[in-house]
This record gives sequence, structure tokens and C-alpha cells, in this order.
Amino acid sequence: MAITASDEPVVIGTGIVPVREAWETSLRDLGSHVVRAALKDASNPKVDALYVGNAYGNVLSHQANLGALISEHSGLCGVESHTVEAAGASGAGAFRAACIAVQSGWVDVAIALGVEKFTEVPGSEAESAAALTLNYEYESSQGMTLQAQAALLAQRYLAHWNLSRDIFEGVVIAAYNHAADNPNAMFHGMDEKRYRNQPIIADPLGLYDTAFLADGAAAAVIVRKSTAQALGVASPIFVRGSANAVAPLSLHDRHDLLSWDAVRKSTLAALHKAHLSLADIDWLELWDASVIELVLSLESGGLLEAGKGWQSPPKPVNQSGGCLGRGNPVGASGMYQLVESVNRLQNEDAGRNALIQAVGGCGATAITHILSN
Amino acid sequence: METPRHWRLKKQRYALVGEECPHCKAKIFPPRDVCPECGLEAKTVYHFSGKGEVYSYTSLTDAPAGFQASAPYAIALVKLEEGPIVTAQLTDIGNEPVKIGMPVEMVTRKLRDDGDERGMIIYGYKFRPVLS
Ligand SMILES: [Zn+2]
Repeated sequence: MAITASDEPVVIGTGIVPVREAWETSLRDLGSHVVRAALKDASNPKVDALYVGNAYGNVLSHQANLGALISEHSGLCGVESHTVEAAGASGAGAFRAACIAVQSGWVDVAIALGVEKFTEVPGSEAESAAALTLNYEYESSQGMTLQAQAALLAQRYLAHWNLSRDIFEGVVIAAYNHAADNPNAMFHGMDEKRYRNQPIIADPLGLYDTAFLADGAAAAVIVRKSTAQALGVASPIFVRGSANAVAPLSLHDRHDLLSWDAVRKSTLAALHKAHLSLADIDWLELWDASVIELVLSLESGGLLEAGKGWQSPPKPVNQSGGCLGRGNPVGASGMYQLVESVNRLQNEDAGRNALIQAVGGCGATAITHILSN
Repeated sequence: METPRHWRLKKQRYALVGEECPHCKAKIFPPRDVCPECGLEAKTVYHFSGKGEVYSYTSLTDAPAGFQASAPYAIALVKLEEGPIVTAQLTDIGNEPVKIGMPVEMVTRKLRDDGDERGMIIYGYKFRPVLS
């Protein structure tokens, strides 16, 4: 069966809740809530598949097989369902799984869900559990953490380019200030004084240089373009390109710490599939679980030259506030990027292209999507 | 860490035992039986000297579970003389400021304890400044 233009995946409905510390809610409730909201938004089509992006449910909620659990909890008994895990790129991985499923013709209506529940345990335990996505035998067993990984990158970056940590201030303040307009964000603005008074957590990075881990869920309903037409959907958002590329999991196994191969390959592959170049992209949502990750994503994705990723990018980037301003429900963050971008494209003039990229494991897994209206 | 896993990793942890690629001569650590440089099979045992230099570093006050007793500690990427980079804590630093490029050497130290979980104390490699 040849894949044609009418098989192109499109988004016809979304559901999202603000990122926060949702002590009163469970992983399953968070997930099913946005699944049902997305279905309602899509006028309740009959669902064939639910792909669940989640990174930490196994350890923080002691819960595996979220596919069976959340589909039942959402009233979708009998559908195809399983979890997609790729650390911070889990949500984007679920979205890509849904796109592949509908475009192949094996599934007609798919839901991509990103869901994460961090506040199930005390903060220190959650921070330790977060190291699950590192290389256990050679990183976390040495006392490495997510923040330490980001700090090692930042330290090397500053030394390599002979810069001081002051370069991060503008990037972080911009993220927090962008989040001021995002109703799904935990934080709403940041001034220089507050930034400069932050405690240093892992030299050279301070408290605000790494995104706060939090709870959240976001979902989207994905069908083929032809199905959307049959369902009478007026203005679906098109998924023009999708790509996943990986680099070695451990920082110590990368040839060049400061050049993110996964980001470069994933960006180029997604653009290639969309028959677009970076020049055709109107705005981007890039990964910023820490400030250095955004800097390296901007450089490796080709928006800014090496050594200049902290400068002002030539196109709008992370107008949502990103993970820094939104808060970071890790396995759900990729779906926050995508759902917010879908909703934004629905309110923009036709012909816009957006590049959305989530990165799992400090540069290890990059999943990119190109959305158009 | 589980007993069988710890036992399995003993050689790497206590003696930095890695591999050498018989095809391109790349030195490999951690060992993985497939050369990351040329993609061919590489199972020849290679003993690293344990000498290297700091490639990047940071200092953590907020230690994860099992490591609180050593906090605050410095953790680094150490570039070994033979080429590979390893992740390890720095130890015996004293008042000397850590710098990128600082020569270091491997020592065996207590890495973590499991508390009451399994009653295990894990030893392994750390790196200290080369005594001049
Ligand atoms: Zn080789």
C-alpha cells in the first residue's frame, strides 16, 4: 500500500492541564483527564489506539503497563495501547508512534498522551529517581544526577568558549518571561535581581538554570487527513515531518560533548520528510530541561553558530516559556510542546510551519516534529 | 546495587578493566564488546593505567540517595590517557580548586552504601589529583 498525501497525519483535538504540583491527583487520573478532554475536543471519534508517553511511572508510581491502565481508566477498553519511554522525549515518542500508526493505515484514530507524576514521593526521592534515565552502571552508580550532567556540559561549554556563567542569565529570564503568557506554565516571570540571587546547585548552574520537575499531562487525537475530512474537521493541524535520532546515552561516550548529534540528525531528518528547510520554519519549540540544553539545541539544530547558542536566536524560540518557564513533567513535556503548538497554529494565519523538538537524556534522544496549519 | 550486578562489574570498578579493539586499536571503557569507533567486535581485555585529566567537573551539595554521606562531592568527566572518558567522583581534593585539564589518577574508594536496604557498601573508582 503506497502512502499518499491524504494519509498524512493530522491533529484534530487536544487536551491539556496546567503543569503544577498536583498532590491530590494520581498518574492515572491526570492521564485519563486529558485523554477525555482531547477526545471531546475532537468531537468524540471512535478510538483505535492510545500511546502513552511516560518516563517515571515505573519507579515513582510503582506502575508499569500504563497502556492497559489508562485506557481502561479513560473508558477506552479494548483499544491498542502501550507505553513509549525515551526520558524527556517520551511524550514526543508517543506522538510519533501515533503518527506512524495512522499513516501506515493500521490504525484510524490514535491518541498520543504524555503524562508524568513527580509529586508522588518527597522532592529528594524524586530527584534521585530522576537519575533513572542515566546510565546506571557507569553514571548514576557514581553519584551522577540530571543536574550534574547539565552542569558538566555547562562547565565544559564555558571553558571551551572562554565565557562566564553570566551568559545564561538572558536565556533563563527570557524563558520565565515568555511563560507569563502561558496558562499551562508554573512560573510567570523572573527579574534580574531574583535570578542573580539564586543559589548555585551544581556549579556553574543555579536553581533557575534547570527546569523544576513537576506533574502534568497533555494529549492529542491524531488521524489521517482523509479521515479528518470524512469526520468533517474544519481546520486540522498537519504533521509534515517526524524523526527520532539517538546519540550515546552517557556523556562520557560522546565524541564531542558540545555537539549534539541526535539533535542535528533529528532536525535534518524531520525537515527532509517535510520537504522544508530551516528557512521555511516560522517558529520553534526546543528542549530546555536546563539552560545549557537549549544553548546546545540551538547550536546543533543550526539556528546559531557553535559558541553563540546563548545569543538571541534569529527566529522566535520557546514563546511558550519552555520547560524552564512551564515546569518540567519530563515524560509529558514533549506533549506539552506539541499540544501548545497545535493550539497556537490554530490561531495563526494559514501557511505557518513550526519545528517542535524534545530531547531525552541530556542530548541522547531527539524527537522532532514539523507542524503546519 | 544488586549483588550479582556488583559482582559482574567488579573488574571494571576495582581495576578499570576495559577492552582494546583488535581491528582499529581503540581503547574502550566501559567495555561493551562492540568497538564504538569502528563497529567491529572487540573483546580483548585491556587494563587502563588509571591516569588522566579532568575534562569537566561540578560539585553537588544535593546528593542522591546512597550518596548523602559523601556530600558535598565533586563529580567529573575524566579523560583517560588512553582516550576514553569516564564519569567518576573526585576525591582527596583538599583546598585545591578543581580545574579542567588537572591531572588525576584512579584510586579505589567507598562509593555508596545502600543504607538498610541490602547492607551493602559499594567500592569503586574515584580520581584524585596527581601527587607531585
Ligand atoms: Zn575498532
